[in-house]
Order: sequence, then structure tokens, then C-alpha cells
Amino acid sequence: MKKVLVFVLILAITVTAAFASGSGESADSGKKTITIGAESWEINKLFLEQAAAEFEAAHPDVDVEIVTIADQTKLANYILDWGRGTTDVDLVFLDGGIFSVEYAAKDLIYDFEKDLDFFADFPKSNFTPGSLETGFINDGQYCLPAIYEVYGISINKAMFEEAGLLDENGNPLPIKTWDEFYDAAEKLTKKDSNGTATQVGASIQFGNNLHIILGSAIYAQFGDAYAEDGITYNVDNDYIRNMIGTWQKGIQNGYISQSTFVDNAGGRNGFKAGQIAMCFEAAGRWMEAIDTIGTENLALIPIPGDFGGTVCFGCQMVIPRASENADIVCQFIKEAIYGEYVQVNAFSEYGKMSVIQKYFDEALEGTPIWNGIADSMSKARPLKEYEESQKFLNGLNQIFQGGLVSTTTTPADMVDQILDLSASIRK
Amino acid sequence: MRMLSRNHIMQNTISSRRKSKERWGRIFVLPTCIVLFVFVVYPVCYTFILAFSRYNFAFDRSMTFIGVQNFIDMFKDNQFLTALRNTLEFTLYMFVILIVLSLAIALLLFNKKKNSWFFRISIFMPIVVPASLICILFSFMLADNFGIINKFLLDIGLSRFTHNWLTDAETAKWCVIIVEVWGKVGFCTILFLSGLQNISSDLFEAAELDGAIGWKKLFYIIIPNIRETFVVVGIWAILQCLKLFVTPNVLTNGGPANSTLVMYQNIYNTAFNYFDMGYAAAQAFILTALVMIFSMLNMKIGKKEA
Repeated sequence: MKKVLVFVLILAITVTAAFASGSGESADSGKKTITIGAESWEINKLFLEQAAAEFEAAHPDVDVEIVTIADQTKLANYILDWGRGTTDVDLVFLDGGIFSVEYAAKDLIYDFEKDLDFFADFPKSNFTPGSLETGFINDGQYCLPAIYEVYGISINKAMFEEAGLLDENGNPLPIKTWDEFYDAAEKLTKKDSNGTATQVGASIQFGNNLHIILGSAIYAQFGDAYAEDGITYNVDNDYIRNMIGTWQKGIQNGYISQSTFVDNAGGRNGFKAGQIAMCFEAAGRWMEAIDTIGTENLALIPIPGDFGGTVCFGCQMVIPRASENADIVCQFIKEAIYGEYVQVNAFSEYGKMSVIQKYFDEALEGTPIWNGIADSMSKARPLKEYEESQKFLNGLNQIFQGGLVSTTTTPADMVDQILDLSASIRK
Repeated sequence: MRMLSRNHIMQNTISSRRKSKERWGRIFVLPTCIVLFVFVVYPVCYTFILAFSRYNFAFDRSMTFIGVQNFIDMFKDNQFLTALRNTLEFTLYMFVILIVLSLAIALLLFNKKKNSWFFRISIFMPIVVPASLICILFSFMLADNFGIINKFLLDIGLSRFTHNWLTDAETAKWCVIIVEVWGKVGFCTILFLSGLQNISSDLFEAAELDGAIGWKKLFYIIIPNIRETFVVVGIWAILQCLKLFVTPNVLTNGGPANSTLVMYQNIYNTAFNYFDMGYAAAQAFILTALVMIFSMLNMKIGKKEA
């Protein structure tokens, strides 16, 4: 009896193990399976399920499986897996190149150009200017952008009209300096008899993308975000000290919302709810407000500055070296991700800009609001990703969130703190 | 001679049965031992080694032994010191509020006989709601520009009381404490309630006959008789306060300007955002030491009073 029991147990374990061990080959008729890891917003806004279905229809011998990454902390686990030469995903979508730096540093991901020869039959000229650079990490094309975004200021035109900030044609008056931005925010702020703001002039993303806010503001003025050493943010100048001073004044007087200090979505949610007039973060935010504010009341204006450019960043794709299906994944990227359906719809539905020039032009025709920052977009450049980007971002968060509300910290102190922080991290 | 050999056979049979039982016992215990070794003993030992090493798993190929350098660095690191100070501050406030409030609610429920099931369920309800969900709901309610609390105050003409609840460092701290206490008070209340129910009713009657009512009853009869419950609730509350993570992480993300950053969150950031495993392990040991010190202190006080 005991022997029978032991035999049944061993048999059950063996059968379970056999079924549990998966491989790239599907059980039925030798079909190949490629697995894609993406966050839920990427699955929805980049139409990944439709892309997978399209690819499967064109390649009946391939199955495309999509797995949801709960959040970016999952990416830390990939370092361990990939370091051991194993992977349960063949393609991973990252919420910005910042997350790929560690993989590239350990050589855990393919260089699309050197290792996979991606551009041999898909020339770089297909891409919009600047977009490919968003995936250029550690001197290699370790990432490919699925879409890219630029920074700009989304505005509520109805509030601008009420504050007398529209011209005779109904276009927003230009805001060329940070002092003008402050003045506009002041005019756009409404306070009740107790001095409580019932409508706030502006919101700036002081949370998860503060380094892009700072970088884009510097770039918009100087045409280069970096100082002479080519790597440190160019903050040690009167222009930046004055800019930080206007932000500080705006926060302390209640003209600029500080909700992004603790909630990354605080600014855009306030904008969508019709309580904030200007929202300085990823320019696509205006599209999220269509339902509540209406397209006719929305516009985009460029970041103040003499040069007039902006910073772009991409939702990036990486292929782990541990994947055995890199060739099929490249095919999937070229045909499905860089196909018309994904590229046009991600842009026109969600403001995630196409990285493929012809689809970019096609989508732009359908959404003329983007023309408000057309000049900026044409000059868009990515920022460099530091090796310790997360540390840099967290440090910036502390400096700004502490300094902007402080009555004793001056903009010059904050600039000094940024320089100290920059010197302390690995770039 | 025949009897002896029979006894001998019986003893042999008993001994072989016992051995067989022991063998099966070991086999049944083995999976638990393996699980404990893999998920507790090995990680603790590995973390101990890590704590004395420099190892950033994104950049370093291997660990380098650096002695107590991580521990020295820790006390020069402003972020760690802020997290430590915040953790101790939160622990102090939350512990006191949790104990006092849950005991007060337990006493109210203990004396309320009618419809007490309704109040017991209501007080226990937050325990079954996921902590992250509670925090998301509170973050919407407390938001500066569109939060329901500020909106309500505006609508009833009390706009001077509206406030940037989560983005002002001082109020953000209290928001974290209130949300945490709201989520945990139910469990402590139930523990106290069970302690109260274990006190003999004769004792209450005798005390009342002797004139012990009101505060006297509380301090001379109730509290001394639920001392064991105090120790249990105390240890549980200390653990919950020291391992505070979800609320500051979701509600304020440790901000504004690290004003609600706690040790657990700092360890998590160091390990999984900066990938600095050695330094994170060293911080984890400090947190463990704190948990042990506070728990032992609580037990000692409980015993002393007994």
C-alpha cells in the first residue's frame, strides 16, 4: 500500500513538473510563443492586445502572450533573472529609459543596432527626429521607443478668457518668461473672501518627473540642458535662480498648486476637474481633459524660454539577452508596434506621440491643438539618463518640496543643493 | 525463560513502532523545516552577510566585505536619520493613540449590550479593506484641489479651514497617523474586548459593592486584569507602527520633502530603486533591532506591573 502511495506521489510530481516547465515552443504543433511584459496603462494606451492579434494573424506560427507588470519594482527582479540567464519575458516595456540604465550597465539587454542589426531593413530615417535618441543609453541603442512624449503646458482656454489672457483671435497670449508665467498664474487664480483658492493658476510636476521639468525648462532657454561638462544640469546661473524664485513665490502665494508633492497625478487631476488653469507636465495631458473641459476649451503652449525647445522621453522597449526569441520580437516591433494601428491611435486617442514620421504627420493632421507647440516639438531632445537617475530624482524631490515652501531657503540655496546632489551621484 | 523472551519481543515491537513513528514524524516535519530554512534562516544569514558588504546588484559584479562601514555611513546619511526620526515619532504617537482609543472603544462596546454586534462589525470593518485601497480613498478625500474634505468645507462656508492636508509637512504626518489608526484600531479593540470579557463578573460586582466605580473601576479593577491583553496588543501595535510602510508610501509617497518617510520605505527604496542591497540590509538590521528592543521593553513593563 505504502509503495503504491509513494509511486502515485512521484508520478503526480513528475507530471506536474512536466506541465509546469514551459518553453518558447507551444504545446501544439511547434508554435513559437513570445511573451511581452508591460504595465496595464501601456497595454491599454499602446493597444498591445490589438497589436498582438494583428501579428498573430499575419504569422500563424507565432503566439503573442502579454503579461501585466504590476509596477516598476518588478523590474528589479528582472535584473536577478536575466543575470542568471533566464527570463519569462521576451520583450519588456519600460516607463522611460531611466529604468534600463541598470540593465545596460550589466549588459543584460541587447543593443538593437550592434547586436540585432535592427535598422538594416528598418532605416533610422523612418523615425521622428529625436525619438530614437530617447532610447540611446550608455552609448548604445539598448532601448527602442514605442511612443514618445514631450513636455509642454496644457491650458484651460475658458479660464484664460475670463482672466483676459486670450488675444482677439481667441488664442492664448504668449508666455515667454517665467515672470510672465507667474503673472498669468496670479491672474488665473481665484480666491474667496477668506483668501482660500477656489481656482489655482498653475500646476508643475514636482513629483515623479521633476528632472524632466527642470531639464526641459533649462533646454527651453539655452537649447542645451547641460553645463560645460556636458553632464551636469545647467542650473548655476541667474536665469534658473530667477525661475526657481518665481516657482517658490507662486507656491507660497497659492498661485501654483503643490499637489504633485505627494500625488503624481494631483496636477493633472486638478486640471481635468477644471480647478487648475495651466498644467506643466507631459503635453498629452490635455487629451485626458477632453471629456470634462471640452476640446474647444483646451490648448497647448510652449515652455517659457528664448530657445523654445522641449524635452522628449519615450516609453521604451528592451529585449533581454536571455530571450531566445529576439528575432521574432524584432519582427513584432517592426510590424505591430511600429504599425499604423498602434502608432496613429496611441497619438490621436491618448496623446502618446508616434515615433514613426509618416504616422506622426498623419495623426497630427487630426489633432491641430498640437500645433500650439509644433516649434518646440521640432526641437525636442531627450535628457541623458544618469546611472543613479532614481537617486537624482529623489534628491531633486526633496530639494524642491522642501525649498519651495520654505521662507528661509533661497533659490540660490536650492541651486547649490542641486549642484551638491549632482556631484554626489554616479552618472 | 519463556516469559523473558516474550517480554523481550514485546519491548522490541514497541521500540520498533516508536522508531517508525519517529521516522514518520521527522518526515512530516521536514517540509516545514525546509520552508523555514529557505525562507527564514537562509535569507536572514544572507542579509547579515550583505549588511557588512558593499553590493549594488545593478552595478557591482560581486559583494565586497567592508566591515561596519554601512552602519557608519547610515548615521551620516540625512535621509536615513530623517526616516529613523519619523519612524520613532510615528511609533510614539500611533502607539499611544491606538492603545488609548481602542481601550476606550472596547470599554464602550463592553458596556453596550443592545445592538453591540453592529458596532463591533463597524469597528472591525477597516481591517478587511486592503490598506492600499484605504490610502487611495483617503488621498482622494484629502487632495488639495479636488478633495471632498476641502470641497465640503468650501460648500458649507468654512473655507478658512480648508488646507493642503497632504502637502503640508505637519498635517501630512497627522494624516498618515489618522489613516493608520483608523485602519488598525478595530483589531486592537477586539483584542481588548476579549480581555474584558474574560474578567469575572463577580469581580465587578464585588468592586462595585466596595465603591469602585468610574475611574477607580478602570484603574484598580479593569486595567490590572487585562494586563496580558495589554502586552499582546502592545507588541502587535509596536510591530505595526515600526513596520509602517503602505500608508506613507501610497498616501504621501514619503513626502512632502521626506516628512513622512519611514524606515521600511527607505529600506525598500534603497534596495529596489537604488539596488544598494548591502546598505539596505544594514538598515534592515537596525529596524529589526528596534522592533526587538521595543517589544522586550513592552514585555518587561507588562511583567513588572504583574
